[in-house]
Amino acid sequence: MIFASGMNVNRKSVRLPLIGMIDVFFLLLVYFVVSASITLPEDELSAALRQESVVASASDLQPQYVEVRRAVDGAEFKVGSRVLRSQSELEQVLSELPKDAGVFLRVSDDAPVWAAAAALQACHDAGYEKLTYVTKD
Amino acid sequence: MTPMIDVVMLLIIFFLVTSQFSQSIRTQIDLPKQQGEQTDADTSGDIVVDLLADGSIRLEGEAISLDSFIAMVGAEILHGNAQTEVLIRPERNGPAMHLNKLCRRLSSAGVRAYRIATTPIEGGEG
Repeated sequence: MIFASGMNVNRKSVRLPLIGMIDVFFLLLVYFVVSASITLPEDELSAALRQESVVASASDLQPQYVEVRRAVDGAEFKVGSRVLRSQSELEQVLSELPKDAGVFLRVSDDAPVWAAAAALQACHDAGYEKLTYVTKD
Repeated sequence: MTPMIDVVMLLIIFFLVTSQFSQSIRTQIDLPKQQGEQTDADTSGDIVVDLLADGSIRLEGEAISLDSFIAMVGAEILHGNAQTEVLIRPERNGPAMHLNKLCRRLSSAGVRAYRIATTPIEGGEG
C-alpha cells in the first residue's frame, strides 16, 4: 500500500469560537437550574358546580351521591348506605356502579379539603365523566 | 456574528425564564396530594385563586375579599367569557366550609365548573 506522501493537505486549523460557546452553555445551565428549582408540579381535578335547589329539580336519571364527612381519624365517604373509610374503597365501590347519570359530590363543611379532593379523584378514577360538586343554598 | 448569537440566545433564555416565572408566581400552598386528571388542557386563560385554610383568598399573591373576587368573576362572565373557568388552589388541611362557600358564590355568579389544583402523588392520601 502506498501512501501519498506528497499529497496537498490543507493544514489550516479549524478554530471553534470557544468563548461564545462557553457563554451559551453557562446560560443554558443557569436556565435549567433556575427552571428546575422554581417549577413545582401541579395537576388538577375538575367538577361541574351546582346548587342544591337546582339539583333537586334536575334530570330523569338518578345520579350517584357521594357524601364526604369528617370522621375521628380524618374523613369518611358515604355512598348510599355504605360508609367507606378510604379513597381506594370509595373508588372500588364507585367503579361497580352505573355511570350514565354521573355522580354528585356533597362535602360537609367540617370535612377537610383533602378529603374532598380524594373523593373527586376517586370519582374520576372510577370512570365518571359527569362529576358535579353540589353546594347548599 | 458571535455577539449576535449571544444576544439571540439571551433573548430566548429571557423569554423562557419569564414564562416559567409567570407560572411560579403562584404562591407556595400545601395542596391536596392527588394524582389529578393529567390532562393537557390549556389553562392559561383561567382565573387562579388561592384558598387558604382560614378562608382568606389570594389572587396572584394578593389578598382579596370574597365579594371583590366574585364581582371580578361576574364581570368576566358578563363581558362574554362565559366559559371562564376558575382554578382553586386550596390548602389541604383547611375545612371544606370555605371551599363550599367559594363554590356556592361562584355558582351564583354563573361559573359552571371549577378545578382544584393538586400536588401529583401516587395513590393519593384519602
